[in-house]
Amino acid sequence: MKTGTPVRIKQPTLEGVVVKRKFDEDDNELLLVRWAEADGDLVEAWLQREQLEEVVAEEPAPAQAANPEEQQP
Amino acid sequence: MSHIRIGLGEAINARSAASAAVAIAAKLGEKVHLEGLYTVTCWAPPAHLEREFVELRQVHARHEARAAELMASWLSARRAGMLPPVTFGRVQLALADGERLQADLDRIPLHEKWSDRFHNTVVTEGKNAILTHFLKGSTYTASQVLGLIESTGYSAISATNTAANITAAGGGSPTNGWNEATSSQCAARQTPSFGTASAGSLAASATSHAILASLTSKGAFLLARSTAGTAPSTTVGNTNGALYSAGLYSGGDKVLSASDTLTPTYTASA
Repeated sequence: MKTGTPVRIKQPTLEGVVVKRKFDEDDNELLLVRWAEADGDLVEAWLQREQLEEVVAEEPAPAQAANPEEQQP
Repeated sequence: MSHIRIGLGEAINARSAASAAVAIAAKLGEKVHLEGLYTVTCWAPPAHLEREFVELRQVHARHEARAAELMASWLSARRAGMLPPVTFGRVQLALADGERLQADLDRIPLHEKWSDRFHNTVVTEGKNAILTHFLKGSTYTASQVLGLIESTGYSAISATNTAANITAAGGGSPTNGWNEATSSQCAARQTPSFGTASAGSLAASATSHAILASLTSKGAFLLARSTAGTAPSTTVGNTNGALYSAGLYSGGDKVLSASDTLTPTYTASA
């Protein structure tokens, strides 16, 4: 890149699922979040509520959800 | 020539104030020393509830493993922009079932069997990871896991130990000089949560490790995100991340049984 090129610092967008909740000694709400890294490996970390925002978990359309595993009772 | 007095009467002679400042920084830098303290407590249920506790915990462990598989499948597909093979509702259901099983377990009282505090080796790989992320990195999301060391094949803990050389197969000559407890002895590593650093010290809250089979444990280790940015995994035997520290119980090996629960904490100091 040449001098003067406008750039943005690459930051990973981490989206995961809250798997546990607890409060620390100072009454901060902590959430254990599990997510998939770029290489597909699952990792987890305790994060403060303020560090997170909710996202929508998109469900597949009914016609697409025809998975044998989902047919089981 | 500047003459600056520091510490307990130490003096530095330099040709300029800037040179003196560099010399002081170097001198102070030598005193920065990373260390840590593990505090491990072992808990067990009363004898008359031991059987119920062990059975319930085995059910819970199997359920957790299945729930983790479901979530891995959903998260990986979502990350790749593909249609998840399981619905998110199913993932949520598995999490709710896990909470119910955990609540059943929590109703069984536990008493303290023993407690141990021990210092440890902060290994070079861990030091490199800290220095890289703090002084050079542009993005960092903390991720640590804490695991248990078992006695099979143990020879020594060394500053040259690495995450890549972790083994959990119970082999006789592990490259690190020690083996991680197997997944049949302790299902998964656990994730600590660190509090607020103060006076050069940062403590984590206790993690909870359910012992599923008899085990002679020697100590514990802590993994963190590697210099390259790879996070450690809670999967026993996984070699991702960087080894930060490893240490042995001060009171010798601990023989653990299937009803025991270990709650280690780690306090890092610099």
